Amino acid sequence: MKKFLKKEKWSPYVVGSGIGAVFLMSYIFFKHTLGSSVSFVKLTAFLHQIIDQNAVKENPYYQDYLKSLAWIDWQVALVMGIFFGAYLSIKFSKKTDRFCKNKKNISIRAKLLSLIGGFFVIFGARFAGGCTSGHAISGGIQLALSGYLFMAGVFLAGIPTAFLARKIFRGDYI
Amino acid sequence: MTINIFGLFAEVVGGLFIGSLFGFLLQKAGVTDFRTIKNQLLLKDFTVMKVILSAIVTGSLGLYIYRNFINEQSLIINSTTLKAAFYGGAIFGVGMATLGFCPGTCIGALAEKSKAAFWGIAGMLIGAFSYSKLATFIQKHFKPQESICKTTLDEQLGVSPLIIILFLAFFIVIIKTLDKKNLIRKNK
Repeated sequence: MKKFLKKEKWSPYVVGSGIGAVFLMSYIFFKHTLGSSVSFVKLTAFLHQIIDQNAVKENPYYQDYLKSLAWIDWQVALVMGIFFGAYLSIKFSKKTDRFCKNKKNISIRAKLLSLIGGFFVIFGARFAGGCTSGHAISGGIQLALSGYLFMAGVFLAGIPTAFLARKIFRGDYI
Repeated sequence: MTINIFGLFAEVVGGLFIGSLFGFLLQKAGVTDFRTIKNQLLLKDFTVMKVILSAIVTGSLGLYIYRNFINEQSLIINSTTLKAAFYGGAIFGVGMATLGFCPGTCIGALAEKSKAAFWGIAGMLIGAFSYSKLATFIQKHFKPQESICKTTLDEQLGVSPLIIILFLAFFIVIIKTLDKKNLIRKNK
């Protein structure tokens, strides 16, 4: 067991089945599904509120996500948990060059690409009403048509974008 | 409107617990590395597809058993329209291909101290702010209340969920065989 936890990488089928089980636990015991993108709206609203006291009052979209009247609710706690879980996983693993590669500084072009990519990721997720965890995994498990249409959109647009970005940005891309 | 820092205790603790398991698994699959996601979209490495499909097959099978034999709990499907799910997915796909993360894996990558994840999150905050400004317009044109659709594949096709799960499982077998025969170009 200890050896298994220490392994740097698990089979994608093992991880996938585990995620299926995690979804079931959250659905059965907490009556919630997995989702990450809403937390980014809340974080934005929180930061915005610090700069401008009336930010939430004047923005009906922020208010939609603050109906629970709490900054840290299920969704935000889930995202904090993801950070904590990933951190634990790294601590258990033997360090390899993969981590060092990730920590490495990146070029200005790569930073800009990441910034633009992040913009589209959340804009798209909020447009669609969910992201990979909300639509693809939670929606997919519940066989929701919207989840499968979301995945179709992601791959249909993502594949040509990836090929184009690799062609233009080469080393700065991957 | 006063907003508290913490919500209900059970929700916060539950979210932390479920999120930790989720994050641990994402890290172990290597999807918190942007190369894994970029290589999936470059059709070089099918890890992402394998993870998603096996999560769906395991999860939906468990869900089917639970709802049919233990408790007929209603589904919790994100409220959206089919049009918005598809178009939003396409915008998301452009972003995921450029960044190499989705929101959840980006947070996981932050634990790896990934520089790309840090800049990605900065972009996400700008994205969330911009969306909040356009939300009313998008809501009106792409997500009118009457078009909100929570239909499922089995309902739509009029077949048992098991048939669809079987079909998805078959899809995994195809990917696995292609991978074994090295028909999918291996990364490295």
